[in-house]
Amino acid sequence: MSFASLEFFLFLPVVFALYYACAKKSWQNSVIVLASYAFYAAWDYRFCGLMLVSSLLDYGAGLLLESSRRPFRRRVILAVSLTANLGLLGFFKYFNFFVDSFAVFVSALGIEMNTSTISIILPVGISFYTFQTMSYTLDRYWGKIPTERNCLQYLAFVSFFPQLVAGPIERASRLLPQFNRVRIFEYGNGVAGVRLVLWGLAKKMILADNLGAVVDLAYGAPERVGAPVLAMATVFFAFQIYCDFSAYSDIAAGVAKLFGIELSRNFAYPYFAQSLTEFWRRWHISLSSWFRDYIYIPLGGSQAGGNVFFRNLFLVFLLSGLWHGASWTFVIWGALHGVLLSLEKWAGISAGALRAGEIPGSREGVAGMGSVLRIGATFFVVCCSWVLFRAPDVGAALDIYRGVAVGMMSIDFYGELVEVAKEHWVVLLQLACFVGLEWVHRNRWNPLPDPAFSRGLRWATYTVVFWCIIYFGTERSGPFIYFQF
Amino acid sequence: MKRFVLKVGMFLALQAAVFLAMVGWHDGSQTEGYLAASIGKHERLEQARSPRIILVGGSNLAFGMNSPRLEEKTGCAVVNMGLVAGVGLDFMLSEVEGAVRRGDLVVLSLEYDAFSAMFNPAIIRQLLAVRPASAAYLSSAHSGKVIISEGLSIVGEITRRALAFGPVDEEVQYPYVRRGFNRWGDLTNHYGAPRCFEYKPEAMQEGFRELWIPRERTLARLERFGAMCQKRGAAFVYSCPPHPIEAVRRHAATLTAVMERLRGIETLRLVDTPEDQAYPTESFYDTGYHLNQPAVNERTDRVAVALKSILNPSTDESMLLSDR
Repeated sequence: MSFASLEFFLFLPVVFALYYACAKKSWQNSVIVLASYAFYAAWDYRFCGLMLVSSLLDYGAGLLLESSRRPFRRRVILAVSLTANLGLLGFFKYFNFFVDSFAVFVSALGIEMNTSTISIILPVGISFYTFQTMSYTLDRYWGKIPTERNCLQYLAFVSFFPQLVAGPIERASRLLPQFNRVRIFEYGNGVAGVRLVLWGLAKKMILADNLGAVVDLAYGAPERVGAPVLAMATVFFAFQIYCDFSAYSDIAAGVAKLFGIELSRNFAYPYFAQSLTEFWRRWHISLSSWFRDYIYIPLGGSQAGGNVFFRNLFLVFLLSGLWHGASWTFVIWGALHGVLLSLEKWAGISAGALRAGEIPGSREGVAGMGSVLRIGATFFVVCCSWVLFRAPDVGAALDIYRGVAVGMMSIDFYGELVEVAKEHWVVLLQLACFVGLEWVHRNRWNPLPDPAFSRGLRWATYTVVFWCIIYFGTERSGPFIYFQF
Repeated sequence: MKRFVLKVGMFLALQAAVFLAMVGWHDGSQTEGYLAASIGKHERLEQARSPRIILVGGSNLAFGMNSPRLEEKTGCAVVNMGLVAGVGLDFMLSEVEGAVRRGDLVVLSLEYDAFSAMFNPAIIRQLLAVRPASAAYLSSAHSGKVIISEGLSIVGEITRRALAFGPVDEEVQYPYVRRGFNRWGDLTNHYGAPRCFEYKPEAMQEGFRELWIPRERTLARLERFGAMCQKRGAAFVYSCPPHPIEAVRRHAATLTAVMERLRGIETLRLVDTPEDQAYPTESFYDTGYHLNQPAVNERTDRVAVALKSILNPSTDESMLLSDR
């Protein structure tokens, strides 16, 4: 049941009505848990049990940590919990990848290995909810949060349907307390939530899906299309993945608001970043901060000097790549970002990089030439790395790099690029409007007019956006890209 | 909460009003797709004077009937409503239900595999995009399915067509185009086109034929429709669709079961048998239901003969077959 489907918009009001019909916290949480498991079952009911096991495992670990005082015993509990979580994730997500990679490795050594890999279906959202449950156990182990004794509340925290299948990866310290009170509907919150949902749908159905159609054609048969098409498809993919994933995050946050729950912000105008460091502070913030808090800092973070610091940085991005998918393209993509970030730190380029909460670009409406150049350079580097993310395999990615690089040497490339741009002028115009809107409104979460504007203007804007979604929406809205992770 | 629900309701009501305005603005006359032929078929159904022969069924009728010839042989105005089996039997019957008048003869010629499980929401989406008024023919059960699986796409397609201010770019595949239909509702632009059909008995999966046998619900629907026809002074008959001789022989047992079940419907009369409507493989154009031109005339004549006893029991059969 995708957010961009009618089923979801029939499901949502039913859950909403049931939720606010409940006067008690425990009833509201029961509605959330039941609705969330029904939502998850709509993807694949077989994995509801897996999510329940994963949730109970860490719920139990939290209780055991509470009753254990001896450090050794606490370490054992933590180790068991992490091993089980990573074991489930490893089995469902990486089993075939490691078996296949091992077979290729030994065959390179001249040993033929008969590998009959089993077909394992990846449970939707496993990477997200596993990281969420692990963060609870780790925070509990470090004593950062109290033990959650109420099982229903804990199940609601793990399974909360708006963010279940593609995040944001919430922390127990932020989300659990919100389930520990009766939620009363607030008008302003509800309107803000609907506004976010509308904006998310616009990004997904107007931009991401239409960009995706062009990208799929080009990346589906890169050998059949010319370098200008590949170059444009790569830029389109950069916006497709941003619009797609940030749309999901916006809709998740908007729906959560309808239920009186605040989710964290996952994107903060990443393509206006002026360095890779800033980009990673603005892109998939909940994952970046997870890796920062649970891997990078425990390894020593930036306090570890010299080579250890660069090693930590590299390791975190390598793992981030692997988190995205069981494929060498993701591993290399992560490693590439690790290397580039290390270089950026080493060269001191990232000094003074803005944080996610700060207005990107510049405080003024128009950025200075220096800012524009830095934004452009960062976007170019990010775009180049997306080739690895989108290409079906490393060989295809290298072919695309080679094809575009060789093509760019020819003067014909630019003439053909103009022709390709003419062919896709509608999408390009939409992109230009989108980037312009984001730039103008970069001091806010989304560009849709808030209550400060007159009612007539707001309703007219919402109506235009609504019909643009319907008009430009493709026949079938594709699934959100991050569902595969 | 009340204020929020009221505002959301008002916003949705506003969008519904905008959509209704677009449906009104929508002009299907520019559409070239195959399913847009439905517009002309409904116009003819409305305008043709009774007594009429109303042909109801799937594409076997669109491809395989020469309505002017049938009209000449029977003396009745013919309306060929056959378009695509994927809309489902229920939809096909609903399309003509309101238009049946005294003296009419409704001839159902449904593809064998369409008696059960043939309803395809994607076909309905394409049809509603060119003729939104056809939504009225959906049963409540099918409406739910169509709204959930195709609702957004239908609204999108109608919007795009309504705001296109001119012809809409469509992928049309020859001969499946609207302009290929004559004013009776027959598709004629495959006439003379080379055959691209080969009978492959192994193409049908084992067990699939079980779906041919009409279920109780289907029989009840046919019974109701027949009763309605009787009440209005019209007749309701079933004529078998054309099918390759080899297929009819191969699936004889299943087809006997199909006919047996149809025979049990009191208000429906069977006017021929699967064997009567079996043709050599060479007579088919692109599927085992789509006849090519010479066979279209052959079938039309066979149907005219089959309808003889109902239209005018005294008609000389030799006259009906004179042009064969």
